[in-house]
Amino acid sequence: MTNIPWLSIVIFLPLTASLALQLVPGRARGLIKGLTIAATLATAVLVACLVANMSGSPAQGTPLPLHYDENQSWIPDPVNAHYHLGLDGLAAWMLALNAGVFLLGALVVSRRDVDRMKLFCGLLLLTETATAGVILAADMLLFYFFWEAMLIPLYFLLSNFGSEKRGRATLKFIIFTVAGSLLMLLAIIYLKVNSPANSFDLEVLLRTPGPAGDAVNFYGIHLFTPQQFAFLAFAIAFAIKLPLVPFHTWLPDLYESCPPAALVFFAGVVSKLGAFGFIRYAITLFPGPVHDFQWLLLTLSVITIIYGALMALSESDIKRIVAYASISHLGVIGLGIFALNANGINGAIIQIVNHGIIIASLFLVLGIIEQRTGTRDRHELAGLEKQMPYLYFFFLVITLAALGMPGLNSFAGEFTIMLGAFQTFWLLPVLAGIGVVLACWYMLRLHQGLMHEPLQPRTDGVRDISFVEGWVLVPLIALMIGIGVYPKPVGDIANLSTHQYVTLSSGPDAPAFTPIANSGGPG
Amino acid sequence: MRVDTVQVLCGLILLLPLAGCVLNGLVGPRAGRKFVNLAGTLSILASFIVACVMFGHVIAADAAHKAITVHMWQWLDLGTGANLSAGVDFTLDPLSALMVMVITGVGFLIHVYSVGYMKHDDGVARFFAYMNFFIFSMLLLVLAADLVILIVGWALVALSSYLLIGFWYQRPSAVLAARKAFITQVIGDVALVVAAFMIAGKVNSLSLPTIFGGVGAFDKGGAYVTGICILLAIGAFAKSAQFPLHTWLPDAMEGPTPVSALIHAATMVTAGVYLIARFHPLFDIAPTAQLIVACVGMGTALMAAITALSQIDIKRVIAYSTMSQIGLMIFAVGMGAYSVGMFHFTTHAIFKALLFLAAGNVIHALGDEQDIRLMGGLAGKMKWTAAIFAAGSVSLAGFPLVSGWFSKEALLGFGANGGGLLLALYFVGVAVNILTGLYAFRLYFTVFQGKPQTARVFAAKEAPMVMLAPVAVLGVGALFFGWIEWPFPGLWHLMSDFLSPVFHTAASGPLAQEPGWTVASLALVVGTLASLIGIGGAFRLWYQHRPDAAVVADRLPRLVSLLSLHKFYFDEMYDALLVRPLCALARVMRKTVEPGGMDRWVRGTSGSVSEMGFIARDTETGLIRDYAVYMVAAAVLGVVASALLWFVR
Repeated sequence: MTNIPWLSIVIFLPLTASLALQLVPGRARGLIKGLTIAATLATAVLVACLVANMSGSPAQGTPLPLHYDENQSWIPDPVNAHYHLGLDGLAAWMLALNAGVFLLGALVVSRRDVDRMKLFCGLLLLTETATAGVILAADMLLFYFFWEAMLIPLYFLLSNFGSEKRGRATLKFIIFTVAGSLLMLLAIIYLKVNSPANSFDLEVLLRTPGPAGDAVNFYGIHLFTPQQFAFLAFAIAFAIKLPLVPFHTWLPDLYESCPPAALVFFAGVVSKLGAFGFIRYAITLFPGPVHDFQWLLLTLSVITIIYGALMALSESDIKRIVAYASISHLGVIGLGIFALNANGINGAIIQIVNHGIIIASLFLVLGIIEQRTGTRDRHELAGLEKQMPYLYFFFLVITLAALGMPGLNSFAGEFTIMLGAFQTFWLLPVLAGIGVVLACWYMLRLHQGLMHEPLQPRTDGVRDISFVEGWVLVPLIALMIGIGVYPKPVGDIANLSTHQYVTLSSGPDAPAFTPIANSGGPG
Repeated sequence: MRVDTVQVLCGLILLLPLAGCVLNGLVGPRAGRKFVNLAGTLSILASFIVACVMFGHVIAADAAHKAITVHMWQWLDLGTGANLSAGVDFTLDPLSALMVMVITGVGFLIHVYSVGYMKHDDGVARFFAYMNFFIFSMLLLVLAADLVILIVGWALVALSSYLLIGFWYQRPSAVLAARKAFITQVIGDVALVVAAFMIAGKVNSLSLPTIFGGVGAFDKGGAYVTGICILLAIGAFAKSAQFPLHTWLPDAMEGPTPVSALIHAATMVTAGVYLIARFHPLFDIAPTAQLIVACVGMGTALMAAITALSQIDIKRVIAYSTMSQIGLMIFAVGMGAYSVGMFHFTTHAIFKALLFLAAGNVIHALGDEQDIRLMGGLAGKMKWTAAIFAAGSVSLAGFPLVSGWFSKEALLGFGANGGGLLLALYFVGVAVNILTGLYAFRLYFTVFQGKPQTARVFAAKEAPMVMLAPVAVLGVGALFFGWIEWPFPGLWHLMSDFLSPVFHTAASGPLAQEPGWTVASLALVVGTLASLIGIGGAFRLWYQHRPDAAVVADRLPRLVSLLSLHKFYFDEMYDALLVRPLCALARVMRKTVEPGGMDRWVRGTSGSVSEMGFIARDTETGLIRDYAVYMVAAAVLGVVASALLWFVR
């Protein structure tokens, strides 16, 4: 059993399905939908089995506890890149989220009449392959390969299926991401060249880090060390994806013009890759620089939380409100990561899962409302509770989960993150608390505005969600309540690798790879 | 008490209301009114029976086993020490048993009453689902033995309050009031969460028994523990509608009247009192925080009592009276008189639920009229309701030998014994007594006595049995329940004796001791006289002379009457200082910073990059393909570049 390359199957199953789709005639829409759903479902089942079975002990003596390790030479010696895949606690949840939201995307697209269905489904499956590759890669070059490859199907999805404003939004997104990732590529090359082991392999780089180097002397002014420059390159690439203010401006425009089915997995998983990259690469490979810039990153996170909330408060387009809300909530994840302690990172991982579930469901619900009423203006929508009692209930739970209601899933993540932030500096959760209070304001105003008060012309005669739409939402709602009541399984798997991340990020002085028992409360 | 018994009891008492909620929510809308009524009320009756069994167990338990903590399941386990670990744990002790009894007992009566009150409403299934959910959340809050679970219950009661305030969701005012209540309470939630972090930072645990066992880790009277207590108190103030987080409570009267009785009078708003009493080991070592709490409590009591005097909405008068009475409870637990505070909580739950429900009868009989200026003379039409309302009013005003008198005079006695600032607060409390008598009987006389003010009064009918019987039961309690505890040393102290295992450390509380005979009787005489003066004044003003409210207002100093009429201008102040500036800031930032600052530099960058990329191209037509090529090229280029670099080296 152990020789079966499970992770490769997870990565390339959607790709194979995508290629197979090309053989299907474009008119056989049922077959196309069926094949897409079957492929995403098979991947999701496989991922679920892998994650459920990963409690066994991983390879010993490695800095990261990688399960289902696959390691082969990819590009031979001069480049020395490896086809190295592995699953750890962070990647496990990212992968599960990935499989889940793509399955959801396939279900959503099968309910809609999209022109050129074959192209859409093929691109969807390609994106899944690329994101799964990003998550599973344990080699810097392989990671970069998938990171860039992801943009290609995304670009075609946006440019072919987006709404009227797609041109500018797509341009902004692509330019930004490419600019960030080119910087990252330079940093990756620097890492390899600088490392005594001369490898792109993440584990090798972690085990034998290169020297930090002297600060660059720029006409007598001591700038950063090369390592700090490399860290900044990574940080900018991931900060664009996360996004942290002021690198966020691509996100609201893009979400606004994104096709609804693509938005589910776009918001659900693609934006989490920034957080993933920060935890997996930026804080582990650069333990020194990450502490040098910790306060900058924490400040940016807090600014992101409050700025995103204020923007959400002043918007009237419901999709843009949720886009800014998403930015604000991703800032909370950033806060957890840059707290650089076990609680913060565990909370960030838990919250990555939660936010993926919540934001995908939110956009699903908003998509349904937009489809039914034909408008996205908050002021034209009211009184839907009477027309759509089922949707009202689902939307209520999702709204509450989004604003961090205790008892629902995001509380588990946010509470843990805030505790971690508190252990770093006591004022941080207080500042983030402003974001929480504002979140209640704009989320409840959104929910109440759409659902309550007398009907408007646009909302009169709107019918409730269909049976199938309801059954797409039910598992998501069940997850929100289930994780809220019993978040331990999520935390347990996240915790499998968190201590390694914390140890790695605290630098070479820390004891090697032992769980941090008492990372020290506030005095 | 045995652990497994407590586990079963806690599980049952929580699951029963939850089952009622799920039943009503899922099948209620289709199953018909009878099913909804039965599922809604019987689930609470069943949990009341379980509560009685619990109560019996606690009474029967020997001194060493009065408090049992049980572990249901692990909520989150991220390691030891500073790493977060929390379990779904419940505690059964005298304090939680008392709370459980009040919640389910009063809750059951109000549920029965709701059957009648909501008889003509289409959303009755939704109503009972929310009400049952509230009982579940409140029980979760008082049984929680872990801070995380306490916070969950703490927030869920706010949620059910939000849902029920906004129950009539087609009224814009109800929608706004619901949101206001929720947001205000979230401010308190944040304070509570930060307090939890501070506690965890010292004792490395969120489990209440561990925290209370480890209070030795805090410096007595130190800034750290004072900070924790102030944060806890902010949480309590938000929930219990105390200054400065009180403005949501009067607006919350938009909800149906049974909701006001259950959530905004008897149980949820008193959760702040419970929180402070529960955390008494921390408050006992933070005297500064205790004094602040006592001052805020008494200040709110005075402010709300003044405001209640000139309100014209029957429910709002009672709402301000609730705020005022909770202020007294907060004053009591603030100065360390926990048992007495809980005693007043219990009597208040009874007589205030009664007042709301009786007011509901009036509102119902008059076809949803709430303006007391349009009532009058209802005693002739609604004899039973009038009599029961009078019983509630004498209890509220503190007429001698009625329930409210025992608890209120007892807690004022503690203040009189405290000396210094507490003695000053005691005299404020005497003034509150006068005001309470005034507004309580202003309400009673204006509504039930005198001449009918509108034709609708003539058509009013007595409420049906289903709405009268629960109120009558409460009426008996409002008159006689207080006899279980006398405000003198050495006499009957059933409540204090019952609670003493929880508060035994409070015996050495630094602020207030139980008064001896001299102080107790002196305080009692002064307090009672004040109450009687208030009642007498109300009798002269609103029964014998019957001037309009405006005339009375003229007799008060102009400033006081203005403040009273405008609720001390708090809504206007918050609107001008918080809400509007925030909205304006958000708007300005969206118009200037986002497109001007953030977006411009992005566009600048992207513009120059795109010019570089497509310098000789028509960007509109070949965009898609070119971009794909560009990106593939970038990826390949990366690989090739790294390879080249290596060859060169």
